[in-house]
Amino acid sequence: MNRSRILWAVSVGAILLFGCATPALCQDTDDIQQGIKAYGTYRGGDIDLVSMTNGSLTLNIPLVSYPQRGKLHLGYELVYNRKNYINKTQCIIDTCTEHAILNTFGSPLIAVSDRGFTAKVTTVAELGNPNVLVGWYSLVSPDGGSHILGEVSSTDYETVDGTGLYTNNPSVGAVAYDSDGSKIGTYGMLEDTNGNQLAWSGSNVTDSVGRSIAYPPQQFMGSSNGAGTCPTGPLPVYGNTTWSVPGPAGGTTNFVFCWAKVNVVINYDLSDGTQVWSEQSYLQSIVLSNGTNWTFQYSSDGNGDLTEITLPTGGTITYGWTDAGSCSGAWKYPRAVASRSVNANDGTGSHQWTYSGLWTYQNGSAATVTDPLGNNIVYTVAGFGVCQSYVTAVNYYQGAVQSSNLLKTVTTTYSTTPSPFGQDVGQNSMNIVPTQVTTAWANGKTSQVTNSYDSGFSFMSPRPNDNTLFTGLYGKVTVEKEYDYGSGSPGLLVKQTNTSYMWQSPNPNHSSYLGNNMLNLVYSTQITDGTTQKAYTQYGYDETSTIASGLGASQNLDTSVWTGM
Amino acid sequence: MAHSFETKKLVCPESVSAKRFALFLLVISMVGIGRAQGNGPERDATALSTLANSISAMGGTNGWGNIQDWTITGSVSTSGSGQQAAFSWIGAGPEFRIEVDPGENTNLFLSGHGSPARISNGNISFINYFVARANPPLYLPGVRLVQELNNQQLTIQYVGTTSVNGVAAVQVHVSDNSDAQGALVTPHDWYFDATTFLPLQVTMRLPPNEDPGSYSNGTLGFGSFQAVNGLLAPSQIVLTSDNSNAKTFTIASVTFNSGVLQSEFDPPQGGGQ
Repeated sequence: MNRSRILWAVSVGAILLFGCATPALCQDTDDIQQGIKAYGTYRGGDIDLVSMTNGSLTLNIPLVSYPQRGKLHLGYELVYNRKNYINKTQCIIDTCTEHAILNTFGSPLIAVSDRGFTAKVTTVAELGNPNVLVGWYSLVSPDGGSHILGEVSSTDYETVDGTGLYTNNPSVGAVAYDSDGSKIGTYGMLEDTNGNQLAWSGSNVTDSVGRSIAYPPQQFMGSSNGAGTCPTGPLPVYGNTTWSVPGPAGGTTNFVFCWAKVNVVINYDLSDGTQVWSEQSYLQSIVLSNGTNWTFQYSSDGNGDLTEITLPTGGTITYGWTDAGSCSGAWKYPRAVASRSVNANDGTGSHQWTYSGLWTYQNGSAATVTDPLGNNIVYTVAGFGVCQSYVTAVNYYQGAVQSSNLLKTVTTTYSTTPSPFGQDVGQNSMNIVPTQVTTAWANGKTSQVTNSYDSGFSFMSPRPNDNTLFTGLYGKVTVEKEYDYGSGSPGLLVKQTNTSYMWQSPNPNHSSYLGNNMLNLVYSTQITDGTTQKAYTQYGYDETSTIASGLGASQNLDTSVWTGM
Repeated sequence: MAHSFETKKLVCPESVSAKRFALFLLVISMVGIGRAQGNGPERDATALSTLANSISAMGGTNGWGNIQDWTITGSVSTSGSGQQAAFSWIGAGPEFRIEVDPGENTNLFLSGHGSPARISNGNISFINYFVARANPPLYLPGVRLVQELNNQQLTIQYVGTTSVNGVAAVQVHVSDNSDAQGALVTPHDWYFDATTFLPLQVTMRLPPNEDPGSYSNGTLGFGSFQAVNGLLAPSQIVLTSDNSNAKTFTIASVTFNSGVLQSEFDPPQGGGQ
């Protein structure tokens, strides 16, 4: 079986396995990117973030968390998944019609495990050979963030966005390992690096102290069962679902999920201009065990945008929305947050932040955030390929955007390498990591921090009959240089931190640590002023016997030449 | 900083073996079926007799087997919009020319002898081959069922009995699994009236040109069969699909063997985007 056939087969098989292969979604171009992307820039509060490259809203509202043995973690949260439309040209007995179709149905606000990955496959037509399909996998985190996987070997896949995630066979489901080496499944964490385990049976878990916990309800299906104990409004309650989980002192805690019907457009027929509307069950409120509740309100204009959150304390966060631009050719533009108003219910009223930007994803385009006091922050982006934009400059103003009000400017330089993924839509870059952050104050004083990264790993091109090897980064900083303030430009190097990780050769047992994806464990750190070592720390884990601190005795400093990367 | 660590293998041989084996089975089932195995695709006797019964109910194999080309005209209306347009379906074997004229515009979908194209308001753009492959003449069940019986490459499986809109029905699954693309875009299921064996509906995949994997599901519902030269053809067809308004095709005329030129199925020379 040649390589192209393997790719073909795996792609098709995986499509059927997961029942998903929406290319625009799967490629996660910047206009439809959900969740938190690696090295992206966001602003917001404790539970909500607004992307400074596409205006999307990410919510993380913690519901419940259970302490576990060791480094195990088990918790659930509410996340807001952005709703996007993708273009489809369908040709059948009414000739070819073009549609912008909603890519996900049901509530955009869902309760999920705060750890967990699903795998998805992307299929695209080969450039210049549209009948040849190319496929690759990605890991998707609970917030909807997507991480493309490079095929290191037939059983080893590693993310190529510097997140250091690993999986050994995404075609049969996602069991991933984070950069700590923790094993994480679709519904939550499975095992920590010390072997502590959570026992999963489907989506139910028996945790490390014997409690049985069901996965929270995702959607409301079926006929109405009334309001139950749900609060009224803003829309009539269509149904309710009780999520019973272990509570304090061996008791049970109930969360009541309340659902309402929100009318949204699920299909724009671009050929004849018609729209198809559908009533979707959206999460309207969650009643907590103490009787308070979270309540959510959505727009009625067909977009189904989240317009207001009422917190259990009575405070509110209100969102205004606008159309973002599109860089992937989507006819129906994704939605972007235009304003965010916070009323803490403390008697001071509502305080509004506005977000203005063209969201063009082009070099030099900018988003401006204006805070309730009228201060402005301008985020300027650069594109490292079509639909791959990152914030490269942030200007902070005290008051209006004018040079006399400029407080400081933070510029970020990124390094990238050519990507074999998404070239059909112009996504030419990967390994996009910040290498230089320069801070310049209004008085000209300028400082700088630079980062160098690991040398990464090799992976195979996802394209058929292409034997090119590419390099992906694990995303670990190996050399950090901090420069003093200078006038108009950075001053002298004052501190350099060289970090060597356990998985790096020639450190002891490095291959075992790499094989277990324990990328974060540090072997040594060396602090220098650029030329002379000032401090050196070496860490031991399994293989090193306990070492006396040396306190009270003469210091036995390791003065050997640092050999890390 | 030091803590105990029990070395473990990240890759569990048993689980990986199981997974790899599952993947292997999947690959075999998707790609290997019907390819150089000697046994050929599954074509069970019950399914084949069901198709044969349906062809007989619509006029017989001889009559339908002699159809070389067809021209069908009528009007199509879209539910909810009140929009109406004239249409024509011209076909010969695997080739087709589908035309819809909503007012001033003319929209064409052509099979193009392996290079399908669409023409909208005079603008020609080429369509991926798999889109044409997903469009056999399901709207003319007599022709299509004969093609399927004669094509030994197709998998034809009896699924069972069911009901369609309250009518007892027999379900037969058909797909071309000879290659991965075919396995993805060609599966469809016929539902025949359990008493008369006339087709009630066919469900199929509607792969968008952008990505065959993100196909929608569509249904052609057949009604009001009428005789044309002794052969029964539906005079009303309702197309429903995921997320779209239903479209009703009312057939005004059916003409067989008029000598359709092969050039009808190709776009004009010199165009294309």
